[in-house]
Amino acid sequence: MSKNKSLNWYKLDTSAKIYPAIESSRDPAVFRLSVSLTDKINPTFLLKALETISPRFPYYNVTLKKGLFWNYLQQNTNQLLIWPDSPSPCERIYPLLNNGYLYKIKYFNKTIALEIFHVLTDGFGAFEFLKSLIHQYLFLLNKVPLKLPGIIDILEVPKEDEYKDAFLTVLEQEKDNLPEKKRTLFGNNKIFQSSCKLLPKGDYRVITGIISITDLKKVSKKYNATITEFLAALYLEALIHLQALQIKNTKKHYDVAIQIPINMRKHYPTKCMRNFSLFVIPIINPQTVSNLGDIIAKIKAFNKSNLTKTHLLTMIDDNCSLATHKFIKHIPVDLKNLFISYINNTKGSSQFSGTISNLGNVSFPPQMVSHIKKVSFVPGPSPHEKCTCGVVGFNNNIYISFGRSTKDTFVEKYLFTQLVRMGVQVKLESTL
Amino acid sequence: MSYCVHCGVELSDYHKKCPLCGTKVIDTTNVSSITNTDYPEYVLYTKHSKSRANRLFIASILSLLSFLYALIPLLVDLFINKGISWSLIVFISVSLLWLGVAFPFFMEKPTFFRLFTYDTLATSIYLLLLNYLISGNLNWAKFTSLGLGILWVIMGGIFITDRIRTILPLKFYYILSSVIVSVFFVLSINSETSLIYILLPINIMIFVLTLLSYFIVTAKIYDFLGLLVVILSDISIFVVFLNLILSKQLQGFYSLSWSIVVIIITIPLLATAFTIRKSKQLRKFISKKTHR
Repeated sequence: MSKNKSLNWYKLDTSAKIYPAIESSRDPAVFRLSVSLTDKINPTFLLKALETISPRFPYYNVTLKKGLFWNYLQQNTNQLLIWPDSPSPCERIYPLLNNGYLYKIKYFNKTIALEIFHVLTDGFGAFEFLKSLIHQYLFLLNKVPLKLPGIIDILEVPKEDEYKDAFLTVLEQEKDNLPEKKRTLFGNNKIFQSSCKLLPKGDYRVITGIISITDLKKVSKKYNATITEFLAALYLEALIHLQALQIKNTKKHYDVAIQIPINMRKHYPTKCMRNFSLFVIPIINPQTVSNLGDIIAKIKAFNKSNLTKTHLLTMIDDNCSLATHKFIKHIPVDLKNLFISYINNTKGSSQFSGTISNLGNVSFPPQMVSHIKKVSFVPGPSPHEKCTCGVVGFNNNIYISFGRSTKDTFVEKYLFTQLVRMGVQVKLESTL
Repeated sequence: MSYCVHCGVELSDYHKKCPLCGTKVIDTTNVSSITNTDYPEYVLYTKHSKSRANRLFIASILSLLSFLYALIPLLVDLFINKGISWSLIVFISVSLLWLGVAFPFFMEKPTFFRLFTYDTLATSIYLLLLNYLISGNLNWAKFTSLGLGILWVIMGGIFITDRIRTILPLKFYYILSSVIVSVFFVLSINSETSLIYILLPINIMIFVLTLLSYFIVTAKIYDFLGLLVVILSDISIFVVFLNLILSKQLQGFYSLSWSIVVIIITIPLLATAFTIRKSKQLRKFISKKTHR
């Protein structure tokens, strides 16, 4: 954080640097977290709650500004806004129409949603912010006490660790242990991507499946897999079948890959509230697998070799090396953004067929649980993957949300019907 | 509580049909009102049709204005000169303006690449017509049109759709486009034989070097030093080749003169970059001396 007269400003963290370059109306780099309460939302109290907690999260109450070499985040003192929810979630956020802010608090019926530009934070940071907001809202309605364990204390001063770039911190700590070999930034394998026709811009459909954690654990145990491994395998299987449907000639089948974000806080404990996730991409050759068990075995093998500390450190080193490169650092930001956008559109986004993002089991203090019905996590739209998946667990249920920019529902239909065939009850909710 | 008879999933109270397969809920008497949904009802299509009507209105107004601006000079020319002469230039200029400004409003999906294609084509036709109207033949406009064509090919590679990419990978698109552009290039300078012996070999050399560099870079692990080695090699080879071609044309024999100065600079740089890339110890020493 640097002091610029009386306003604070923040550098973009390593992951965040690409988002201003790749963000567009088809790929807004916005994701959504929502919590449904037991009672209808009161907008007046919601706005008051937001205004109360905002000083505690100054690194989210910012606006994006352009520098000479990189964009940066300048503190924003404009009036905070809340919005009625829209039929298509994860719309592009236009700061000019949002008082400069890079996130939106939306409400509809009994649901409060946070739609946030990925430049600010990842799912973990966003959820802590939303948790604080829900807590403050319930406090204003006299339903919960002011201080609760597990909720960030809004009277505290924000710590430096919360807004420092955690990638650079880890790199600094581990500089003597950095592996020699560099990773290939882009793979040479051709990866399958769905050729379904896109819906008009701004049209994003969501289907959420609600499943009991107990049932899902039983099924995944049969395959000796964790829930994440099981769901990732099922998702891959759906994509393999989608390719078989779209490309009849099996000789022309490409590999299928999914992008899985890894919360690095589990490997390097930190209070960082900005982006601190890496993406791993397990790749499956459809010719080498014949059933779900084979796919799970491949994912297990992939995790064993890729989720080691050395490999994760290599990935952090690679991510940081481009951004901190001596030559690249001094290229003007407009030129850099053009280049990043080009690389993303040609190479970057063609590396995987889909994304499955698992926020894990989220918890609220017991005093708040009785007021919360459900939680949902929807990743943002992508014109290349066309169908992305977000998973979150709460109160013995798992919420699997598919967001899609196409009319076709093959992937989600395959996944949910397979679960039903395995004896798991699935309840659906969706956009209309 | 209702279930989809095909998928077996449980549906929410507000579902009138299964969101996965579209199967209608048989008994809708228990379907609750729309106010119990998780998301507001989707209404985007009405906004889209309203904006379409506005665009058509603007397009019509602009077209009418363009028509008047094109027609009036034609009538004046006819009246004064009893024929059409200078007004043709005005006519084709206004047509170009119409294509660039008004025509996009008629388009259902005015994507950047579509607009760029129409503008490039319109500008090429305009320059060719202008050249013909002014000088009675096509000389300089051939080259400007060719240049615009090359630019379109480069942009086409960037905006090439996913569907085309599955049939024709990007590198083959550029190879094929370069061959086609080169053929047009040769045909267009057919009459200027001296240019063939300079421009054609240069064009072929650029094409070959770009292709080789592309394959070398994609075959190796991408890093800055590797790329620098390839770029410096390309520059060295290209300047030597250019020097030889120009000397043959101007002096009648092959000789190296100014290119020696260039390669005196590029070859040591190339060797340095190559050595640093290969030696881990040297890289560590340099980064230790220059770290911030």
